[in-house]
Amino acid sequence: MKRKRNEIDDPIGALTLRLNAAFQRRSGADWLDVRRRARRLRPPLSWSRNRVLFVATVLVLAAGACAGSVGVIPWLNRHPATVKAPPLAPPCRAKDLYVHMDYSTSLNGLEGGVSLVNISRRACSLAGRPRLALVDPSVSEPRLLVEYTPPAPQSPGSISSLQPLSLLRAIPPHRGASIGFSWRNWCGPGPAPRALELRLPGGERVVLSFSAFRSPANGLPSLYNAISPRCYRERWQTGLHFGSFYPDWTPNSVISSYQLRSVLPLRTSVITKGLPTIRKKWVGSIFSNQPGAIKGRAFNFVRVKRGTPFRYRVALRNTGRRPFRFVKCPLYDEVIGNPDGRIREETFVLNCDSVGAIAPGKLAFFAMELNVPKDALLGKGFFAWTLMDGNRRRGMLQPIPIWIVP
Amino acid sequence: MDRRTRAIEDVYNRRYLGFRNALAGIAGSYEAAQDIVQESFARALKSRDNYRGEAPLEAWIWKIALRIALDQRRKVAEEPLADAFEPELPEPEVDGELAAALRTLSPRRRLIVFLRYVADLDYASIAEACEISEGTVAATLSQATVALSSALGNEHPDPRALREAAEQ
Repeated sequence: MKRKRNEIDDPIGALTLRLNAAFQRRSGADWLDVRRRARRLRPPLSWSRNRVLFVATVLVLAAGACAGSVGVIPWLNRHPATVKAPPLAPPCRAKDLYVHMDYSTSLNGLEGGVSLVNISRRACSLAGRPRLALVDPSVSEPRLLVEYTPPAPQSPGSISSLQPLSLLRAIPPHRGASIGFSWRNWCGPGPAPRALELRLPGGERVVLSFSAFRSPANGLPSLYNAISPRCYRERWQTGLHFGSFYPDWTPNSVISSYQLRSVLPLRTSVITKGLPTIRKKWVGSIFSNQPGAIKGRAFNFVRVKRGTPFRYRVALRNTGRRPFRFVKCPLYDEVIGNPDGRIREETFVLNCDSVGAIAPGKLAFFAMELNVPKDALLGKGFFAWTLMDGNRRRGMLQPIPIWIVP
Repeated sequence: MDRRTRAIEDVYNRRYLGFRNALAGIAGSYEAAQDIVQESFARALKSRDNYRGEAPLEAWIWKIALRIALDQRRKVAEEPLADAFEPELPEPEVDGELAAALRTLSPRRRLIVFLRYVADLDYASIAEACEISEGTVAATLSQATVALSSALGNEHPDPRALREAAEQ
């Protein structure tokens, strides 16, 4: 509860004001949802001795009856609902935005990002192409290559579709967007540009000084404390590369549609037993960032055929002490790829309506499908499955090595 | 609709934001908090006949909410509620200084500060919800307020700045 203004001279009232100001989200009250949930709940039990005995007997009988019967829940070909594009708001002005730059320097050069948060009281738009430049009035024009990477198309089934670029049409207060950039190979002549200029889609410019956003990397070589990239090769152009604005939030309505609990008592596993395999000798690692996973020995890869659906099963085990029941059907994310990158990523809604309660320690099996693209590179690759909670990944699994065949 | 259902709905309508905000501090996000609030009131509705009127209705619902939040953290259910959480501002970047000041408090003090100043619960209700005495609530709040003022570097914070912060 917010205190009245005449109480703000009182330190306690002031503290209350400040605390409440730190919680700025709008109300999401929904009494009908409470009533729906209440209807789904079982009536509370009065734990008389007889009832305890009765429940214990039922549980023992049910556990025995369930032990041998395991069905597989069929796959549901349903992507998450499309996020609607909001109506176009007026362009964001520089004074509407809190702008922050983060960057680091390393052997590769200077890499960073600029984040912008709408601090005004109205929604504003960052739709359109951003423009970045390196500036410093005191130096002559450097030999500079500026390269813009347009956003990749967002397919309806991709996880990025939960956070579509169309959200940039109206950024609500306290939400924002970010833009990534990299600057490589500065060899002069003259001193390096000392600031990054961002031109907003509305035309206004924001200048961000590299030195103002430098946090010292104590104890590291000076390369890591630099405010410009190292000279890699003199003959080469210096290059500034940047991408599109990307929204940094998912609408609450989308998150709440697929949100479960803050902790899920579920352990996920992909059932590889029974899948066709192919024995191959492989030298090196299967997954990027995992050097030496397999070193020159024969290994059983799951065989996946290019251009056809890859069918498999996933098991969810209830690791909690109580029966688990899905209140909402969550999303899951499937990725199939090779060490050079992702080949395909798709997000689906878990077919949980017919699951019922999963007893403690018991498993529920789900049939899964993922189309392997016709143009997928042949040979080794990986596959991963992740349960999501709202728009967050939960319990990412160890990727499974696959071998893509024609 | 029976009288008790109406009373619970009334608490929900009047106090939703207090519940949601304080629980966001406890659960770590608005989304998780929203789910806990909905679940708490649903359970309160379902077991409304168990409410014996010995404590304020809101405190009774808060107790349910804290139990659900605790359950979701998978902590041992026997742990005293007042010591089971480590509340934080869900979006510390909104007021980094305050977020840092809150972190200087013990988790128990933070919880009680949230229940008092964000959820706007009175001492008796906090005592009931956290299963501690009213005296402990009073002492904890007093110590927490002094510590917070000190951590914020101002015994009497600038009212103008606070007003601006509250109006943003």
